[in-house]
Amino acid sequence: MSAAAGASTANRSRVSRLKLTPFSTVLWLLLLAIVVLVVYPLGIAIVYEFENIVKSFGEITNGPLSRTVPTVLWNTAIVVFGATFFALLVGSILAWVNERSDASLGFIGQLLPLCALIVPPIAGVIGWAVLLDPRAGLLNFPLRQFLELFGITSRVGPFNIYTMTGLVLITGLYTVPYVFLVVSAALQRVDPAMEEASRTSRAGPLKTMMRVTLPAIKPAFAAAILLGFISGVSLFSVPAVLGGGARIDVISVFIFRLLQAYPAQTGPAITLSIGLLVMVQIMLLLQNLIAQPGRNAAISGKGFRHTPVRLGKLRWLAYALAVLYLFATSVLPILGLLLVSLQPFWTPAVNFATLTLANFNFVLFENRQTVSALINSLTLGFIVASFNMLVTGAIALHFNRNGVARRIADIFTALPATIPHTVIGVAFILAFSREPIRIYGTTTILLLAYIVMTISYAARASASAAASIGTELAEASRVSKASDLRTLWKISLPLAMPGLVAGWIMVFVHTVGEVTASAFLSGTHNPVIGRVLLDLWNFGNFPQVAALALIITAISTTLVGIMLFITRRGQRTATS
Amino acid sequence: MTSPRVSVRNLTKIYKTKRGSHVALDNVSLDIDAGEFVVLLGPSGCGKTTLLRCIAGLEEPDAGEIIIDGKLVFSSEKGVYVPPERRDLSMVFQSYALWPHLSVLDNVVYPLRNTGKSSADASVLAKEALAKVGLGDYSARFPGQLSGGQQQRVALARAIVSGDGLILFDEPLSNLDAKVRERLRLELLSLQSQINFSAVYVTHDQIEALALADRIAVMDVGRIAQVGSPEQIYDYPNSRYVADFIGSANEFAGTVKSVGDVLTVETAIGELEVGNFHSDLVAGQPVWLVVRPEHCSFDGVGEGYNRFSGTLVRTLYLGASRQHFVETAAGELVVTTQTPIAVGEKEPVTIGCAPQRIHAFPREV
Ligand SMILES: Nc1ncnc2c1ncn2[C@@H]1O[C@H](COP(=O)(O)OP(=O)(O)OP(=O)(O)O)[C@@H](O)[C@H]1O
Ligand SMILES: [Mg+2]
Repeated sequence: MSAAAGASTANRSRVSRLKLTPFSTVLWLLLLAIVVLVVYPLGIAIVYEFENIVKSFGEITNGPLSRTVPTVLWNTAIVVFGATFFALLVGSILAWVNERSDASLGFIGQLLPLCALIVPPIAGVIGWAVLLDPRAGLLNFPLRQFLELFGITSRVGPFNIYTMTGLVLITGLYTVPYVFLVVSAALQRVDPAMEEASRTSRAGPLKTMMRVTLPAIKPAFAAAILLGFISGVSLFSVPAVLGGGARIDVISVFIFRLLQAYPAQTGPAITLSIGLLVMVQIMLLLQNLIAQPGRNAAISGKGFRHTPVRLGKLRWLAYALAVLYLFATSVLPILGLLLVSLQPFWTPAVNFATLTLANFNFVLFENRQTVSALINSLTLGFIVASFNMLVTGAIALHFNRNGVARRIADIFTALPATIPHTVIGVAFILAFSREPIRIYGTTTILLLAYIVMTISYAARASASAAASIGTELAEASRVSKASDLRTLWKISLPLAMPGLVAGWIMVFVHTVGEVTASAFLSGTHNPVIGRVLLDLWNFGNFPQVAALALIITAISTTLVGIMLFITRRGQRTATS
Repeated sequence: MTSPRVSVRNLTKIYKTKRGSHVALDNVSLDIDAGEFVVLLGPSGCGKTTLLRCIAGLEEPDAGEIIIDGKLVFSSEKGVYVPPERRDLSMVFQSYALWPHLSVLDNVVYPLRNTGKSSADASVLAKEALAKVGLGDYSARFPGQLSGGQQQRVALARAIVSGDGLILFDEPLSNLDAKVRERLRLELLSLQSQINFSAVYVTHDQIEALALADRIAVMDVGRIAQVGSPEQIYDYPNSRYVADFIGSANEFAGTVKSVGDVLTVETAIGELEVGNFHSDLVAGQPVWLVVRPEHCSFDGVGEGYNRFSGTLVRTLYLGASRQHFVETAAGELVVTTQTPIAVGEKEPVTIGCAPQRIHAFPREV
């Protein structure tokens, strides 16, 4: 009896308690390391730079920065509000069309939220820049020729991407998926009986939408707006590419410039970073308040099938909008990149006789910087994705879903998602360029930054993979006399595999296409794709930029395709 | 004296939630003998699943003891907790809980492999078990390719294959439609007489409980209200709660007038003689009288029957029987008969019922 009792204590944690097994100890240590990676750099940076921070208040309020900082903040506000407004309009129309109308978007509807994964934003924005550059834009040029037919001649335009409008629209394009996802999810949860009751009470489809559907998903709109703000203030790639030409600085790029200046203005950089961090935290807090369950009692949580609203001729308009969106985020920029990458040098008048693959050859095999950037990024992506999925997958499958251990682990892994990448970049630079941990300029610093930045994605993917299994399957294994770890290995892991692989791909693609922290932390000794793309762009090596951007787009698209294939097959086996 | 297969002693389980703690089991004791089919019956949320999961080891109780086959598997005092994989029992889930990535055969083989059987032996035993549930030809399929009834049969095969002889069932039939449910119920019984396993079977369907059980344990919130054979529970409920929960019951309030061989009770419809009562009732005590609709009649009024009058309000034809609603001075009363009656709606009727069919329970005022 005593042997059984002794051995059994080890299994208690599984049931209700926070007891440590060797396996869970390792998991806790890894989690702790990740938390340290978030807290330590920020803390150290603040401690070391304390005097500079204090001094920077003066510089910002009435010193040399008092003129630029307000402008930067104002620009940021315009970009964020404009982009969010645009995304809210487009994203919620698309979501409504997809969920409620007979113009269900099918496969396009599935692709929409993945746009930013299929074409990394950095590739998308460079693609748009080569299309709508006022002089050499590949779209502007034929438009000018067309206008000449009517006697309108001009050497520039008609469009200019290097403007506030350009900045707002392109940022908006990449904010649409957030809105689409949030609003779709909310629409799925509204009981159709509510809408049908309204229809039978003699309200038309439009009135029903305005009076019943929209009020029911108001919290979702609020959440979507806040998400738009958060992603907008943190977005770096779009303003980094367009802001230079437009002479418009937004906060994330401005912080970057402060650190790049000579001498580096570390004080203002960290002060503004902390400001950014605080702002994002406040918005997250607001979002949590809004997303409180019970606030939207009308929503009943079951998956219903709706009688779709008939759009009639408007259906084609809906399709057109969806297709236009896909074109704007993917097809057009890719075409632009393709044309530029095949030219010896970028001209708007494409001479098809001179097209060549030389740029791809150069980027892939000859240019030392791009070759090592590719190798570094892909290697880092592989390590980061594997590590993060392993850790979060083990946590999600091993710790009981409602247990205390799982809740603590969830808080730990969700923490990094609340910190803008700019802030992580700044903190890592300041903390890791000095003793005791001097790793600035190495690939290790990138590895650590990427792990921190993507752990939350990984955790979310793992949690949903684990949640899709249902507790009873694991319990059935336990009463079939399989131990804890055997259940994990034989039942939970194989069942969660499709979800975990999908998560792996997501983390990999994010890492390879990452620009913000890459810009801060990568250099000539540790080049990665994000940084090299920006450098090549700033130095004017446009055909090479285009080729490199296309290469990572191809990698992302292929992987996301595999991911869609896996998850769709997973859904089939689960429902058949 | 043979000891019971499962012995649950003074089990208490408290769930702690954000809104405070919830006592799901409050000092529950229950024995299950070898080869016995015990049904846990009770309304939703009364703790049936919790009790089952505590026996299985999927939940750790807060106090009490559980002994399975003479082996202590849980004791709060001695700090013993044996995890599910080392308790000799198997379980059938409401959702079937078949593993979708394993074939039917592999699902059934799995428990055997976990106890160290060779894969050849396991395969032979699993095929035998599948044949027993009538799925011999389905071993290569995957769970997703089976109907609900077939899936639950696979789950049954998986439960009997290890030969532990103790199976826990958590509402195994409630996801199936009525016809399949009835057939599986019969198959379950014949399977049980073949291999003679002990069963703890959770349901909130009283028909299922009456049909399957050797003994029924009726649960009230967190505790067992009465344990007994189906006949005992149905004919001799020990409380108004049990009488109400099993079958349907007419109830009326009254006051004890005198206590003797029979109880005489003063009610709004006159003085009634009551045959079933607890001996500690005293004169003057308020009571509830309970009588089942099929124990009341209009015509077969025998010697010594209670008699009272009312007005027939409505008759519902239910196929096998007829349900009559009668307005009396003590409120509405339901009478069930097998044959049609000669009385029309809105006409006066006389109702009779035998004193030994009426139960009296103390009434709080
Ligand atoms: N994990 C849990 N955390 C908190 N409370 C719980 C938990 N599981 C069950 N409860 C509560 O314990 C009580 C008993 O639950 P249990 O599942 O045993 O009921 P049940 O009798 O099986 O009901 P049903 O017939 O609906 O299945 C319920 O009030 C339930 O809300
Ligand atoms: Mg239950």
